Amino acid sequence: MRTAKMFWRDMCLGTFRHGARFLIIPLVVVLMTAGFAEYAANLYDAGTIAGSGTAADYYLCVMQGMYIYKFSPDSTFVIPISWFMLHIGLAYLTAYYPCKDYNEYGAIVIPAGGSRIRWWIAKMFWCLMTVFLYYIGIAITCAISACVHGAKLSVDFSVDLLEHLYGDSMNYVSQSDMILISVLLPFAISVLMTEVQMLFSFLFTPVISFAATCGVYILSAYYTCWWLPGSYTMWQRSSYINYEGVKPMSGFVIAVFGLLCVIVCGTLYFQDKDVLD
Amino acid sequence: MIEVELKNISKTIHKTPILHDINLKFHSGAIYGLKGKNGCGKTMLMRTICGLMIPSAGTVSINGKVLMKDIEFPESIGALIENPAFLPQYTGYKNLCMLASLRSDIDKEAVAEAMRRVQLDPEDKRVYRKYSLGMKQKLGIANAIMGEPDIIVLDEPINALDEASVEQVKKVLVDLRERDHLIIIACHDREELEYLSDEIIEIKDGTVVCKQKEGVA
Repeated sequence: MRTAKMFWRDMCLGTFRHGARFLIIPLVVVLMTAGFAEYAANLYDAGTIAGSGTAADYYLCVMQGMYIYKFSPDSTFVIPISWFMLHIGLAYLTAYYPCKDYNEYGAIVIPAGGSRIRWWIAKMFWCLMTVFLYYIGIAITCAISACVHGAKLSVDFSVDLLEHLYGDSMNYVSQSDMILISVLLPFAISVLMTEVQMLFSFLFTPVISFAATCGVYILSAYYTCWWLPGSYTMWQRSSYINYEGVKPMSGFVIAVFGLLCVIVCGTLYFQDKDVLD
Repeated sequence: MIEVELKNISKTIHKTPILHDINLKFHSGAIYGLKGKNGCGKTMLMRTICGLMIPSAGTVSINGKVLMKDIEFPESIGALIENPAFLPQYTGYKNLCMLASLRSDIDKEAVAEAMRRVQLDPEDKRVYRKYSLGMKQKLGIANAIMGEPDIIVLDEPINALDEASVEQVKKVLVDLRERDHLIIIACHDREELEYLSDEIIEIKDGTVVCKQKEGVA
């Protein structure tokens, strides 16, 4: 019960109070979907596709990331700005609050809560719920954008439209597989990244931790490999879409293993920590 | 009846000894005063008693229960240590209610009563950031005494308080002592410390150098 109360306190002070930071979501969604909506409308007008897209298509557009980058002297690497802004926005939302709360109010709140570990667990749940609300925000904003552009409010993606954009492989991916690689896996990896960032903010500083998170995302955009978690947040890089891509199961294993490490390391770190200003 | 026992307490931080081989016993129904120069270890000793700081050696036990072994924090304790930290965007009452809800054994009436005892108005709509220094200090004391915990630890409680407020706080502490609470205070005002304390413990360079019993207030 006390953990739940501390969690609720964290939600009020760490997330709801900074609700304005969620505005990064509509900013990115509007930027990304404007061009997509026009493209879909042109294809529809030309009779190439059956409909002008669905809310799911808009979501996939926002969450696509970038294709697998292969170094070549002729091609320039460009960070996918919208994808980067979305994930860094989430990292920024969760970067500073835990450390600030510990340093400023820990001496009062932790004894009131009765346990250092209870405090840490509440923080982990706070992180998880903030990521969840962030993804809900992305989904709702995509749905609104879809409605504004006259698309159908449906969770089914349009095979014909996505085939035009991303190739024939879209024909062979089922609805459930798309949900796995575009919703569940990115969510799991985002939770992992924010939880690791939170732990590192205590082991180092929030600034270093946030910078390291940005660095991991940039490296992930450049290199497509199983041990860089950022690739799993880009469904275009899934092995379901591109045979050279990352396997979703690897992503889930990394997410689960990583979260277990965070739980264990955080518990070990906080159980003997002096609560000093 | 509460007994707090510190056995062979030592604490080192970054190879600097902060506390060295401290042995003390505290009983309920008494006010214990800690005195010593700035940086002698009074606050660190108070943090150790509250469970905020884990000693490098030795044990703190409360009624036989050892901190960090049987319990993590004392089960019934209120503390004001250094500058009280509250949320600036909420009123004093709201701040205390949020903390009280975490502890679950303190209702809103107890919060209001604690504020009134230190001459703060629970109905005051001013947020904490608009409080004067004295009001912030009083809120810290109210936080420490709300719900009347068995052990009350106050670090420099009369800092920034006017004369009338000091008298009121003294009355509250004496009243709590009469009702069998254990109170530990640190204070630079020698007169006030001697007036309030049943026993004064002098600390120097992290060790106890002297313990003297005083007259009852």
